[in-house]
Amino acid sequence: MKESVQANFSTHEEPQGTDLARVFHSSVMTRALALGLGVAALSRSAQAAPNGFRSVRAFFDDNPGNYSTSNGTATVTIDSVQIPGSGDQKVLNFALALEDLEADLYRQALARLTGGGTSGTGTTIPGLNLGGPDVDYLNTFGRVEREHAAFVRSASQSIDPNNVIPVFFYDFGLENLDRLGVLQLVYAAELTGVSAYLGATPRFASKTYVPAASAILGTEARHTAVIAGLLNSSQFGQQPVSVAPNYNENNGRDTPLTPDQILVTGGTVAASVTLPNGGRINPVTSTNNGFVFVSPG
Amino acid sequence: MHDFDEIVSNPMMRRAFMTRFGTLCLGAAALGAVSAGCGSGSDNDGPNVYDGNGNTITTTSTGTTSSGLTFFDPTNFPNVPGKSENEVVLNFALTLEYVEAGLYLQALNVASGRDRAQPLDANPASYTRTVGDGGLTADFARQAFDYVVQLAYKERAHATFVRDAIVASGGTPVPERALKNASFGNDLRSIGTFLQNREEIGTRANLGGAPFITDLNLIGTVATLYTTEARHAAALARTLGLPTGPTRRDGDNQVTPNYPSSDTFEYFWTPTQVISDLQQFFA
Repeated sequence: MKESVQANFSTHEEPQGTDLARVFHSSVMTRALALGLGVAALSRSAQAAPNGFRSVRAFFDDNPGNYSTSNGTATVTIDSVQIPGSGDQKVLNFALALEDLEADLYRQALARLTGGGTSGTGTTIPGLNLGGPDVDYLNTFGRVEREHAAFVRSASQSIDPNNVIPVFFYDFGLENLDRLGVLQLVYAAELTGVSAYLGATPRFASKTYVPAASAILGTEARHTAVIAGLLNSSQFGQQPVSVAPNYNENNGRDTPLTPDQILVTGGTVAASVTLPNGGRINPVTSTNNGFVFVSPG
Repeated sequence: MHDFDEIVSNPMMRRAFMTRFGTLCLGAAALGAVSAGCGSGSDNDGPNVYDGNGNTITTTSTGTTSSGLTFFDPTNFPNVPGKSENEVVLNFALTLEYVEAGLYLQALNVASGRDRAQPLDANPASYTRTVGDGGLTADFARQAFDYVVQLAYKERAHATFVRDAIVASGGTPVPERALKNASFGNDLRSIGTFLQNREEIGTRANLGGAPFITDLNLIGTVATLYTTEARHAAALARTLGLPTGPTRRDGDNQVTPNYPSSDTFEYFWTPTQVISDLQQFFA
């Protein structure tokens, strides 16, 4: 199971000799999505992976007009060129996208495990009315992720307040997940987050934000290990996930993923839904399935 | 493939790395001229850091050589050899990994009823717990011992990786030093608590050392060690009923003056703090 996740990550090779400019301006991309971020560790398809894990790709967009005629046909391609800003701010905005996503994932995951709530796009999430260490950890980690997001947003704003990514709306399909599925999803997100930070760190234009970003990265790593530990427990069937890379996997080290490896690289818009606030959500089908999340625009 | 891995395998990259961070810097140091790219100046010092009270910590670097070994940055990395700041930081990381690997080996051997000095078995599955659980629940004891086994191999893999990387880039890795018998009790809780503390120090050491590296790609590589240390710390802490952290402790420094909560950001130790702490383990 762990091996399948790692294999998925390791299929992407880091472009050699890249610098920030090359990475962020290396290809001509559709402007269909202003920004996207994929949490792609596992598959969220109806035909779940043999190990039972799922993966979620969360796509978000702050320009819903781009989807007005896209039902069923448009190919969605996203990469880091679409992240606003340049230099340090571009990396901060990438990190902010990740932190925002994680913060809202924890909010929705907690809603699912406890008293219920709604997704960012208004989908009702029935509560399972549970309690226990997993709920306690998710509560704590969700608060930490919100604090990370606030810090990174503030840092980005301090560079150029007009080039900060907006808050997006997310729907992770949590209403369909059981307790184990919720933890697996959170684990996937944290695992991806660690790799995303590792891959983004070398792309800072200076070392100004490296210590703070690294200090955030360490907590993401801790969260990953704790969730993995929960999954290892008897309560969750001793899921064979590793709390850290095995000694024979990348020398026992975490694996960086570049922003373009984290960002979604493909998908087909299957439908669109108008949100009460005027934004729209577009479920996307791709090899891993996923969703497009649309801000009010 | 990524950064230092590439340096290891690609002769052109290796040559470029040494040109940028070794030869030029050593030359500057030998002349007594500490250039902006070789251990001093705003781009090469660690960035602004803050102690637990939010006060700025000022760091400086100086180039110094002595017979036989070069100590490029004795101010920030006392007694850690290296011909460039990057090599010094990597030797600092290697020292840390050697100590961790050695301590894990002792711990695993004690936990499984073997002689402390017995080398790692080729088969991780050969280890079974013989010590008491120290009051841990059966499930936590199972996980804790499993983690001790896994992490013993991982720390050795880390040490090997860093050593090989230094060699591949033309540097000289520090030798692995013999360790004293570590002082932990004869039960799993005691052993796990000892190791968890070392992982906390390891996490802080990597966060404190990495900013001295002059190359962002290399910082990214050291970060792959750092994140696994953080993971180890948290995984062990959970099985021991300890806070999974980060949790502020004596000696901690902060990356920014104000932490929203005590567990929002990691803390770090300066290399000097870490080097001083490690002395207790050397035979």
